[in-house]
Amino acid sequence: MLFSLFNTMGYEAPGLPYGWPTPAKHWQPELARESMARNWELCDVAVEHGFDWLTVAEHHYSPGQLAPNPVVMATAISQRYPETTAAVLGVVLPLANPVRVAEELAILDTVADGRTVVGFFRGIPNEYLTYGTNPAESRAMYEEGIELIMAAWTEPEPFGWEGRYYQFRTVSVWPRPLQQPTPPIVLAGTSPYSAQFAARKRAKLALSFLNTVDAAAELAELYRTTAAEEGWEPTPEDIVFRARVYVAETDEQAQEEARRYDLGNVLGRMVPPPERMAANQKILGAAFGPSGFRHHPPGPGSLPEYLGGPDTVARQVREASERIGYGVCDFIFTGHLLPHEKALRSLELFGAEVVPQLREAGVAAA
Amino acid sequence: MSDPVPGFTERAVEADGFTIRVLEAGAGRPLVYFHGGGGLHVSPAHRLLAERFRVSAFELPGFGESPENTRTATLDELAATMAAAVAAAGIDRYALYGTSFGAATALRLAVAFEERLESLVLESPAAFRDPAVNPSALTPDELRRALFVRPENGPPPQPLPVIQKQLALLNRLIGPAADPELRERMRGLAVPTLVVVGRSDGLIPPALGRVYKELLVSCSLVYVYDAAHEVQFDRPEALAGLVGDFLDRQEAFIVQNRSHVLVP
Repeated sequence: MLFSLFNTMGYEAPGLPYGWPTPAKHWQPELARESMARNWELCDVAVEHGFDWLTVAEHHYSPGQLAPNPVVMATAISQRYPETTAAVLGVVLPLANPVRVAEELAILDTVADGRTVVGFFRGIPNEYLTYGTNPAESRAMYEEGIELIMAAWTEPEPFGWEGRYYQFRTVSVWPRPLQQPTPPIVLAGTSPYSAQFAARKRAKLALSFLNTVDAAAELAELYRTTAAEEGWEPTPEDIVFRARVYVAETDEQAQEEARRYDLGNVLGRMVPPPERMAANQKILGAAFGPSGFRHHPPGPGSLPEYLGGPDTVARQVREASERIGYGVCDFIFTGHLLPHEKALRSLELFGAEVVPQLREAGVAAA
Repeated sequence: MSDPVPGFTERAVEADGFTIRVLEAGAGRPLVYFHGGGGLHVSPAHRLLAERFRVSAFELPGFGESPENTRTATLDELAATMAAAVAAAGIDRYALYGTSFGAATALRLAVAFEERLESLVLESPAAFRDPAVNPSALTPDELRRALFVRPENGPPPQPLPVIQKQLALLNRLIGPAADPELRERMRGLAVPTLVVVGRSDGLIPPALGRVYKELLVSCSLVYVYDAAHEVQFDRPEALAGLVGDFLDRQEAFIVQNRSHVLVP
């Protein structure tokens, strides 16, 4: 089993408003420095405890994540932590020029000496507001973008690309990724269609913030069944499971603090204040509907997927990984209300007391 | 003679003792077309190109309703016959565009009669192939999937005897999957060439497009996404736009000439 710290690289300061986008007037250089220092501290602790991956993701216009270009952040990670894999999970592909993405990821793989994992995601629908992407075309752009990046990384001769969404008359990307022919590719699979798509592309599968173990297990099974039809067999390490974790000294303390800090709320500060809820719903309705995106990640009042003292969390992760069949724990230890010291403690407890139990138990098997 | 094709006029020319059918439409610079192994079909791409060019689509002898061709011995011979047919049609210097088997024929014409060509367009060219893929061994269903992303947009099927007659001729003439002599002749070919390959081509692996790029002096290789072997039926607007732009600007078609201004 592999362990990944999904580091949101967040910016935290007292009094930040709720809702999306967050006005940038709330950004202050000193607080940005302090936030990054805390983020590096989390990475340090994960690396000290032998985590295999440090993961960043792409989100925009919000203090929740300071990595709107996750490849830039992953490049920094790769230079600070030369023994750890820098995982970009992922690039929100419908937002970007795929050729540029191919170039950036190839730079990352080169300077990281081939220690990268690359995810291509469709993003949650509010991301389409960032640069004006039509939600109704996001899936088609995503699928074409993946094909174009694969061609850009593997075609030996300069070529033109006559797509439905992308047209380039000359593509000849330098550098190539150090990992040949491509770095390991992870595709998001939070819907049956996308889980099958990942299997057809022979990519790893990312399952993020699913509401129940059953829902995750069904998608993982669909992925394995489709892969078998395509003539290949995924291993547990082909399934990346992203979830929230909170470990405290005891189960009781963990339960109490998870509720106090709203730790299962994936949306964090993106949830708008009550007076803006109606307008927000109108926007999200216009974005979600045409996108075909049906997954609603757990919001306020939810609890982390894995919660308790170290032994309890080890048992929960072991049972879920066996049931779902995942072999990469891509876990998030922070929360927008959780004090940094408590997040650090949770990560330390996980690294020191949970990881050894899980490594001893061996790789998950579905 | 077949039913007339709406918008296209039909005539016949004589070359090397063959009577060769030509479908024509449009006005402008001459664009000569050679069809693939499935015979001569006017596609939506031809209609779009005929809005800007004088399109002359020739039927290769032995295809369609023409008599069985037992006389032509090699692809080079067929290319010479077709060069004579184009000349007999009164077309002196022209852009030559071929599909699949027709592209292989067009390439042979180009290496023999380069001085007659303004430019060369090879759509899903069959001059180099994967010897493991044998179209004759595919079921009709497998063949349609190899040819089309969207079979419903393809031409209506021909009668079985016509298909069999055409395939027999194709198999007799097409030659080895990789002809070293052709490779050598291609190295001397300087006519501006566009090679268009459907990214989902199930008949000729798209990766073989790079062979033309490696050998030809001036070759632009373009992959068409969401298209199989029959690019002109799967993505006719994309293909016609690409070909039209290449015929206008040749190698310089890689320069963007559409304005980025949104609202003037």
